[in-house]
Amino acid sequence: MNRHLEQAPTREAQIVRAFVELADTLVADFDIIDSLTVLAARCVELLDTAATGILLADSDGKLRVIAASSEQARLLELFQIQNDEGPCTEAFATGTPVMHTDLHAAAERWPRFTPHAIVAGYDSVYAIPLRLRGDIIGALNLFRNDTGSLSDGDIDVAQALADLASIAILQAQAATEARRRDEQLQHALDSRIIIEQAKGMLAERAQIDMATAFDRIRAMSRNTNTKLTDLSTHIVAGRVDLNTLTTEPHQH
Amino acid sequence: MDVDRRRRVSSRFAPGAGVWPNASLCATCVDVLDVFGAGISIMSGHNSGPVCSSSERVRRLEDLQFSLGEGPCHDAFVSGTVVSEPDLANRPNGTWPNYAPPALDLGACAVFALPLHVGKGTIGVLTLYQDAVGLLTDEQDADGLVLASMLPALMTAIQDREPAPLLARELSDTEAHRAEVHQASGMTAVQLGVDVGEALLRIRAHAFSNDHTVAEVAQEILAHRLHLGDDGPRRSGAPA
Repeated sequence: MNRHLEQAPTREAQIVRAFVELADTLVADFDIIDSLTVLAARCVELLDTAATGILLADSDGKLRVIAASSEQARLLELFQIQNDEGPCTEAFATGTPVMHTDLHAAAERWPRFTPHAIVAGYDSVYAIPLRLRGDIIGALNLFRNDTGSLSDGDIDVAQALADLASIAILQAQAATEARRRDEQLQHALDSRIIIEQAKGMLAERAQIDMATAFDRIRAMSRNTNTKLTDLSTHIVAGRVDLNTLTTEPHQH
Repeated sequence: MDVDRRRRVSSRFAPGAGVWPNASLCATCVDVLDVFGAGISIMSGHNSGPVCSSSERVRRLEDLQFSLGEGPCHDAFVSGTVVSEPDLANRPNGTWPNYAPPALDLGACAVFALPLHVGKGTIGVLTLYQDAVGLLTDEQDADGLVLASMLPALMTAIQDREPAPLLARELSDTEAHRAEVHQASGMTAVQLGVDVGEALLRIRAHAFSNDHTVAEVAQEILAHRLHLGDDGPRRSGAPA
């Protein structure tokens, strides 16, 4: 046993090493996609699994493929999202792990996903929801080349890796939020100034007063579904033909 | 010691102290530090917005820097470090040649600009004015740094209550008439066929050479009594 330890790292040592490596990627300015791509690769190395994909819900709740251990796995994840069918989307929707030990018998459950998975060489699948503060934020998908179940040990390690992915996502969200808050006052100031400048430009071009100019800009903002600040930025940068705003904006 | 200082200063901004949420921030700064005056501005790139001034005189001192595009506030923002000038009348390296004389006329003898940091960036400046020559006391200095470290969080908390992206009313000195200056920049940009940054520089230049404030010049432009194209040589066929 001890001799083995000297020759090749034990499974425990490999797992610990992977966790330390992943924790190390979560330093300031880390890239969430990079971290999760490393995580996907370690899943394949550490677990009895052939490929891994990680899905993450965006702010609108729509799933996206954020990382995968191979292009094939990425495409399979994408296929699940597009068809809203498969173990990964199911784990996300239900919040519970989804295991299928023989995909050859899964055609009824996932009629579109199953043939693609089998053609790609995958015979069984295990999907784990990613949880953050009680919310389901995504899912981790493990594809296997054999039928049958993952061992209990692999299931435990997979769950720990899924938890680590959730922590990485939390960290990334906190960093984004901090950046947003840092710049919030300056954004508010810049917005205020650029709206005044845009009002002045339109008032001069259309020979109208500032209140009317503001009404026109606001109406165009609504009609074109453009934020007031963004529209004002376009006006000030000369990207909007002011002549389109010199008349009453009623019909659009 | 530092914790005590922080606790003492922050207690002045506590909800019961009458500042929150109405944010008479500058008056409280003057109160805490016992200085002649204080002004706070949010700064972003070439933009600046007055948050508050402790008095009309300070408002004019702050506006002077905006009009001239130079002064301690600008330097503290750009450098991200405290700028101290304990004797405005005798500046060793002749800084701020345009700003210093009118600032002295307004009664400022010494000025100290403290950057307001958020994360790695600077989001504004707290400027302290004294009506006598001399450095701040150690006590004022230390309290000033505590204030400067607290203000960004306080301002961000005030802004948080506002539906984005509009600047919270409490963080904008409505008496400072900057809105008119930016509107006039927009008008002038169209009149002269230049960008708004260039237009603001023209307004500043006109104000400086005619001994007016930029706010006064802006009023004239908005009322169509002044057209900056008339300043220089007339160009026929200039863009409308």
